[in-house]
Amino acid sequence: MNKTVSANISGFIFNIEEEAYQRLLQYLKTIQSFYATSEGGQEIVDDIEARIAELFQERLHAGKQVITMKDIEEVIAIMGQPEEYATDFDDDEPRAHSSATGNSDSRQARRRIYRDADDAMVGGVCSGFSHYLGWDPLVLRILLVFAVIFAGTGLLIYIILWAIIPEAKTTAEKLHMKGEPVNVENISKTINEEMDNVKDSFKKFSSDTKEHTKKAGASLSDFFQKFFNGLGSFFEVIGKVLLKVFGVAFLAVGIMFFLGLFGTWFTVDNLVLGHEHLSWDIIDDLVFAGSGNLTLVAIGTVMFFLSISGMFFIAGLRMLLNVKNGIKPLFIVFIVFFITSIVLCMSGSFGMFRGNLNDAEVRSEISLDEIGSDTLYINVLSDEYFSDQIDFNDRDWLEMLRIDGDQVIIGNQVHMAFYPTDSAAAYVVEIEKEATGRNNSKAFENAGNISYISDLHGDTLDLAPILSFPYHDNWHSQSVDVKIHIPDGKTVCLSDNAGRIYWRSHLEGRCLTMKDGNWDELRNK
Amino acid sequence: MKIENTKAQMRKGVLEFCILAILKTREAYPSDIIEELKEAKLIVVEGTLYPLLTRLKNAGLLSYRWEESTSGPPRKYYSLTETGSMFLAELDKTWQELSTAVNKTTKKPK
Repeated sequence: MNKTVSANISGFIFNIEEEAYQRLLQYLKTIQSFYATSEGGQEIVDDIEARIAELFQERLHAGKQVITMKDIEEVIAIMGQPEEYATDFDDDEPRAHSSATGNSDSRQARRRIYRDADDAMVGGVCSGFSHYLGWDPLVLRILLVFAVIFAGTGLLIYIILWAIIPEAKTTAEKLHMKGEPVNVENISKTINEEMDNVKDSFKKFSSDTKEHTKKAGASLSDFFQKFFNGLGSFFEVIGKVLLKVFGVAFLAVGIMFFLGLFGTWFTVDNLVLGHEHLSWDIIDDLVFAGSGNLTLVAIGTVMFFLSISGMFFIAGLRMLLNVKNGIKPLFIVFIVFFITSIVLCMSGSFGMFRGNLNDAEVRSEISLDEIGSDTLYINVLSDEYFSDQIDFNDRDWLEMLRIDGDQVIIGNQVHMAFYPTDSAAAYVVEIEKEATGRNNSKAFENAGNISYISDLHGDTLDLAPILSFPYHDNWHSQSVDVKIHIPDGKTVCLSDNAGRIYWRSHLEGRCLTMKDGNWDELRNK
Repeated sequence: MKIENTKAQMRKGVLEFCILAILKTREAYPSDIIEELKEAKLIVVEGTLYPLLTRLKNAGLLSYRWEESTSGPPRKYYSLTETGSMFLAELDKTWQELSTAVNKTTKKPK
């Protein structure tokens, strides 16, 4: 049982077996593209189609209803292949005569422009033109890139050409594109070339497979041989398109990673160089404990981006251009680069991670029994390092770092918070110095080394907005928490610059009264 | 130099002459013409004829009219135009001369 297709040929409906239909379609396409450039070409094709319809009609007379493959082959044999007409059909142009006197064995086909999808970088416009002009496609591509970069018009031209120029799909069209005469010899040559490509890639694949799994490889290759033969054309079309699409995508990713490298580099570099109180040496000393590991991390980062972009780039190139030589060693170089970069980054930052494994806090408490009044005035001290305009929410620690002799001054790591307590209790101020360290005792030592200034006189509590620690302690997330417990019904008044240590910076310069565990009243001082 | 090429070139000119000759006395549609040419072994495949007819028609030597067919699509019935007749007469004359000349050259008694 065979599936049939119904086709309208010259106004007549024929039921044709599917396979036979494909054969007929291919035949008509060949004829069509063969006469596409001749004067009255469409008429010739119509005449031939009409004749084919007539021949079919004859074959259906004996009660037969379906056109079979055999019928098609017979009809094609009667009508003949285009290259058979070609010897009898020539137009009156001079080159027809030259081919008669010369030894070329058939008419020189006129070149026509098609897009070459087999050799395409994007849409095959350049490679199509290269066939037409007989130039190397690379030349055209470079010209195009220049046109895109310098005038921008190249892109528009390309898109228009892409839309206008048809793609060479059939074998005959591909031959026209390359200016080779359309005859059976050339058609089979082209098809064989394509099949060889597929077989080659298969062979490479299967030999690779064999290397790894010698026994299973043989049967596997057998399976793949059949598989590829069966899916030959399907594989070719879909596979090639996908390959090119992935190729372009990979190239783009590669380029993006490469640009990302410079982007990251300049951003980080600007970040450091943009701060007058900062240098790479300071960061190296404080964060990486002065071991020079920052250099390792920097080199590792550069290598990481380079290797990733390189791998994507050459993978993309390989997919697009089918270049095989030299790809493998390059790839191995990039993989070694990649692994090295990760090792560098990890070893470079290992000390930093290890140095911050534990954290500890040192607490001190001031009880404010002696305050007679119901109001505590909190006065945030001004300092010589930072402006009072900077508030707590300014989290750029690079900006908030100063080195003064052997002391590191941090301007945004003092956090003040309020807690309600019983009305019978007194105000209590807790000051917690916190830091991390390699182990608990080291963390404790780091926290203890934090210098923080606070002072109570009368009903005024002076609080510094900054903390400092010895330079050789390095950066260990040193911070100070000031926790103020307010008895119910008591009031706190904040100085105008209290926002430097209090996250609700809009409340600076105001007085707050604690009532039933909440701030009751906001009023100006 | 390939023999097929030379043969084809020889046939090429003759073929047009023969088509015109077939149409000298009567109208005919391609299948009729093909029958005669096939019988004379002048053409092998039918596809050859259609481009030639189109070309002769475009050159103004032939004209055609449509006629419905019982066994397929409508057929083109070709006939000679006036130019075609004159063209044929000219070719006929040339052929006679050529034939004599060729015979004279190739069949020269030794």
